[in-house]
Amino acid sequence: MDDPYAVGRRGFLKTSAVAAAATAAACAGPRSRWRSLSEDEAATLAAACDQIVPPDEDPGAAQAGVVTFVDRQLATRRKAERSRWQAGLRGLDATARRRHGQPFAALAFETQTSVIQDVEKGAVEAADWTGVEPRAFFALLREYTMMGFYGDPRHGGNKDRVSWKMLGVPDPPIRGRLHETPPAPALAPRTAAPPSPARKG
Amino acid sequence: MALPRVNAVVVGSGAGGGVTFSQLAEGGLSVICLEKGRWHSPFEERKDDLVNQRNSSLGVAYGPDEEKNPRVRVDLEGRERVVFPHEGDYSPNASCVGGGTFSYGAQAWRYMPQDFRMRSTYGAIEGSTLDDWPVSYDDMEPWYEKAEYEIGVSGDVEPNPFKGPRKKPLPMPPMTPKSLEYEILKPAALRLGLHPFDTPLLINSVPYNGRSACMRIRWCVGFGCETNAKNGSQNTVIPRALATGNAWLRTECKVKEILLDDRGRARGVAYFDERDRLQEQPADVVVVSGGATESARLLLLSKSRLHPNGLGNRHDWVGRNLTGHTYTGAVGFFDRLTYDDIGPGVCISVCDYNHGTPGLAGGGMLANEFIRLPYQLSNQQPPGTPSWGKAHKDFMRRDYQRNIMIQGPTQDMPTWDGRVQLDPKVKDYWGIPVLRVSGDNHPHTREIANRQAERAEAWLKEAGAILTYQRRAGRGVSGHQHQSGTCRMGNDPQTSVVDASCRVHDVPNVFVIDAGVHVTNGGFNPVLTIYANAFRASDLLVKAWKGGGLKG
Repeated sequence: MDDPYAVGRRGFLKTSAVAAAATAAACAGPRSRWRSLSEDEAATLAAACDQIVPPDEDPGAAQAGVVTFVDRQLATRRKAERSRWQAGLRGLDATARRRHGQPFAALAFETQTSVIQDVEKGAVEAADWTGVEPRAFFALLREYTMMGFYGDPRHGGNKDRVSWKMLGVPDPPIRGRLHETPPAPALAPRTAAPPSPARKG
Repeated sequence: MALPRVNAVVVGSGAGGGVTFSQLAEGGLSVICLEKGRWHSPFEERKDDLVNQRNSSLGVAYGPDEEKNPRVRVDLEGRERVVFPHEGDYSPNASCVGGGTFSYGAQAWRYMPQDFRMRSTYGAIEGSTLDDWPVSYDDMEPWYEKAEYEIGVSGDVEPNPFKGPRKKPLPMPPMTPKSLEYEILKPAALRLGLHPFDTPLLINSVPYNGRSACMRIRWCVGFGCETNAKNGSQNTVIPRALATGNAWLRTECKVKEILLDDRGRARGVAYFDERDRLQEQPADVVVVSGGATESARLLLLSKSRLHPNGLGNRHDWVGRNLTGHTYTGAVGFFDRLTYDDIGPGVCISVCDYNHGTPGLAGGGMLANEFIRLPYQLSNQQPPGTPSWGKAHKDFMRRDYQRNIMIQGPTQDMPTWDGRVQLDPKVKDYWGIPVLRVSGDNHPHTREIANRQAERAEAWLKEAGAILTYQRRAGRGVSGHQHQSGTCRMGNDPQTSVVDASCRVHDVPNVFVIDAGVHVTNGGFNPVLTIYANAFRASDLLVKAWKGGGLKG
């Protein structure tokens, strides 16, 4: 098996399909590579966290290992939140199926965005959400994704320090004035779009 | 079975306990210091941005132990919730050798003369227990100087015209080179007519006391210092105490209660040792230095026939007046770089707004903020920027190195209902009743704090910020690392817990020496005042000991 930490959103779709086929053949429960999550839950999470930090010219949340991060926390420091997380991932999938006839991970990116927007507002069918309130689940999803994407790689996310490279944070972040190497490239002005007029304070 | 008797036992090894431990030992007393936490080495320090004392999203790095130390928090609607040390509602402070001083930001402020005379300066404030200290700035001045020299402070406070009189300059110069934030903010402050200066820090700018100078790491506050250039009690006064040969430090020891005799005097303490065995440590003198919240808890837990409501609690003052600081400020976003990776972070401050604003009973210092870790900035997008998705990622990419935050601690108006008490139901790992934290900050505190936010925003705009927003005052009793006030010092036993020498009014051989005794908490980080007051109070204690007044 490939390194499970390296699996992106597409990878999840593929492997969960494989896992489902294997299950059907063996008539046994799917064996998950994860410590807390099932393969299906992991696939849903991979798609959902990419909504919070989407891939563009820099990697998105799934590629940065946010699924590994969440999975690990729910098996260790944050065991107490595992049932709420699983209830939320079920709710997300149920809403996707009710509205679009497909699991959340299989929807187009923009369709996923509209589902997440409604979860954030709590504007989803209550019958699909038991065990966690949709807005509370959105808060969990956002908090964990930000921690996993921007936090220390030792917790399973921020794989290859992708977010720190993106921000130009020195790595390891303990250089002070004793830089051994030239400042990170981001210390030079980036080519980001100029601030929009709305930003004038 | 009781252990061999000593002259004094000190409970806690932070700023107050560490200094007292050293001063009693150097004064010739045999002393044992009992510390609940572990002794961490600076060389094992890991910069983990999710597990530290600044951002404890995944836990605290230096205690208290997550599993063993719950508390109960009562919110403004009266709902109760069990909380743990990584949660802000817990009002946490680090729990290890050095206490908060092992990982603090190490700002080294003297309070101003008015800060010791708040009631006289501003009169009574409705709904507040605002009062004067029983000691003045002049009483404290020599002890501030001693703390600055013996713990070690760098900076340059000479350009600050609002400071109290001082006899000697700081022992170490400010750090050079200056950071980019300093260069941006200083001229802006001068244009506004303010008086900016180099923030005093308990960090070595040059080699001092046998340890090296700061290597300018930006991830400073909330972390230990791997070069040992940050001065806390664990690398200054505690080693001095141990070097006397008549002082012993026991770690992972959780004190259960102060033991009392039939005459109402303390005869020692009972504690659970590192293997959870119950021990009795007899002592002639007991000094409580557990921090404002835990010191109050220990007094409340120590009951006897003569002290049915706990030690020092005859008039129901123990645990009340819990203050910390209501922090407010502003964030500014710039169209230029503001980030140059030169630490330790806070470096420029003003005291123009601490006192003297008509209609406001005080104020606070303003300074630039320590680094915001990437995860922290992810929660601080300006109003109008989405909190997730592509637009949020663009914000992080564009603004992580283009923002400055200014904030400061507004001096809290203490209140009778902002308090800690023993919870009737919840117990900790050792079966000891835990603290119940409740109350609100005072409305006038919020009014002052919001004015401070406007001032911080004006400074950022003057410095060229193209977008700013204020971080305004929240609700709920403060506390946290700056916790204070719960064992108030005063001359009147009916309205305070300890006297001006920090001795519990009706117990001749029990002292409280930490920020619990602060009557008010200044518009500043309180640690230098804790150090200075501990030098002052332990000097009085040693003199009383030598005079024979403390021996049972």
